[in-house]
Amino acid sequence: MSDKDSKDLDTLFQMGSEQYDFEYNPDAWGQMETLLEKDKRKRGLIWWWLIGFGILLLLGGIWYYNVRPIVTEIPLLKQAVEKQKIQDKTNNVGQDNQTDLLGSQKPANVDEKMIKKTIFPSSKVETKNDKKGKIPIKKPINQPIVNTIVQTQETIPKITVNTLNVDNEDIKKATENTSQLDVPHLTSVEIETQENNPISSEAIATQTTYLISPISSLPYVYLDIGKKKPVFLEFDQVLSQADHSSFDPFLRIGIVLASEITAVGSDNISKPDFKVGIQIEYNYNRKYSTSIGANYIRKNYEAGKGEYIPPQGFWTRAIAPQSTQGVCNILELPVMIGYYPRGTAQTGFYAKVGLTSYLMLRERYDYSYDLPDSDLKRKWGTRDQTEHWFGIGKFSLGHQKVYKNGMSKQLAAYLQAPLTGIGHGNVKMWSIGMRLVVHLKTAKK
Amino acid sequence: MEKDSSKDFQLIIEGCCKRDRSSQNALYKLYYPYAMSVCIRYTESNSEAICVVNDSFLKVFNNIKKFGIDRPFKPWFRRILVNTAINHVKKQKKFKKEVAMDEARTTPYVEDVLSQINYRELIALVQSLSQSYRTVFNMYVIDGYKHKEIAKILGISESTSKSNLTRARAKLQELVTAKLNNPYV
Repeated sequence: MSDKDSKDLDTLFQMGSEQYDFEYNPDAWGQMETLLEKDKRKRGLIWWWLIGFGILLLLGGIWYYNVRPIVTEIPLLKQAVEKQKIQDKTNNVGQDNQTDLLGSQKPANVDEKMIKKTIFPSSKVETKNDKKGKIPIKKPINQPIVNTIVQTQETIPKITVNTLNVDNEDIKKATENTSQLDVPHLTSVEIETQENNPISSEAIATQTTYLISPISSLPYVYLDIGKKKPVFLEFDQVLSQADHSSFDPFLRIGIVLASEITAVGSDNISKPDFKVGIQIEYNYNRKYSTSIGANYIRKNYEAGKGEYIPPQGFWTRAIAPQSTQGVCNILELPVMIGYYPRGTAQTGFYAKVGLTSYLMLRERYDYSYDLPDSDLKRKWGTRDQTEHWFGIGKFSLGHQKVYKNGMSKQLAAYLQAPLTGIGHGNVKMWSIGMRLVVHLKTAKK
Repeated sequence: MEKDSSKDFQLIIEGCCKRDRSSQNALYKLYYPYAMSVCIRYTESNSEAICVVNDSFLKVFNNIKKFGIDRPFKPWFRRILVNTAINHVKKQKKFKKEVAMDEARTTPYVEDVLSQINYRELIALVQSLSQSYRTVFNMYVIDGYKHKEIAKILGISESTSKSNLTRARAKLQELVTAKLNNPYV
């Protein structure tokens, strides 16, 4: 074929391609709509995955900064333990075999570089080798030794009381005092008794961290202080924490701030809406609580075809819209039961489950159709104040931080699932969000 | 047609940005004929062309926010159509095959041909080619790609692209001549 022929052929088809005469095909649009619906569902799923991942990240971050145990390395303890070993050898006291710094009997949660921090009183300690810069250990003579391991992790600390010189009356007396200790990480304390076990180097070596209080007429107290500055405590102050048998119920009032997104069905995710309210929580038990609240939210959502179901006869000529945009002012009344594994008055994670009621203060809807008919209903609103008592199930997971002055802060992720249709259109709306509650006052019953 | 600059068209585009279904339908109605004219050349049937058109429109609706309203819509849309059609062809993997050709014959003048053969018939001629010939012919002659670009997009060599084009032209010329000689075939 010659170049001219090629060029002519090309021109023929180029000109021909400009003379198209296709007409609009409604069936093709039907197929297009199916594609659009599938795409909408796919985009909705991606959002849920992202939100779930975000919540996991947030909870992980809270755990990382607030819950994981902190250890610091104190090399001086090595010297102290070595010294004690020598003293024990000399005194021939309860030493079965030679152990290294951490001892062969170290607890399961202590690794080879685990830290121990020892702080000794400044002036009143009497030791044999009291040199500047070295930290001595003295075992008091004729004094009962009380070892208290106060962990910053999940385990409840124990007070080990050497029963040599302490009887049950002393312990009982000490536990009557329930004043709170000034150690932020200190949780409840249990008492366990040992039979005449003098402190050996192994016992010292297996402590995670401990603090020795000033010598007084009362026994020594060893406390795990974590990363905070240690506080010297008297025996009765420590034992007062051992009183875990009684709990004073208390009430607290909080301000609620939240942000949530709403989805109708598996797609149509809304932009974030903001919620504000109050909460009253009654902590009747060490680990359980009941709360009620009142929150105001202006909820925006979109419902697709078939997801907005008004009363029969509402639509003009029974033609339902393709989509409905709703804006509703809602008074939300949640009733929740909370579970605090570490205690309702303690810093830690918690979970809540309950039911929420929606009182619809105002509803406004915009309806979108495929058809241009002007007589179709495009807008509608009401202030009928429809009520949906306990129509929404609610579940939340969060973290509580308790401050010294009685204030506390709770940050939680929550999920709200519809148990009934909401509003004029009986819409099944799901919500997921983050909630911050600041409790302003703690009042004891 | 000044549809790109009209206020109505702007409203349609804004509605599509909000994923308003009626606006999407309006845009679909407006550009469906044009989209079919582009996609039909790459496919073997109307239904296949509709699939490609719908995939293209889906890409338009998902990326409409990236489209600046001050630009002409048609060239942007054409690019999406052609790319979607080419991707469709690549998925089928038939374009790499080569078919033996017959000898070419002289083509009559263009105007004479167009007066005797309508658009649909021309398209039918293109569709009768093998996929490999059809794809290269469309990309080079109608959509203006160079052989280097065609080779890169389709994953073939430049020489294969050139030979496919030559063979496509020869085949079309033969078909056009046959059509002119016997219009009832």
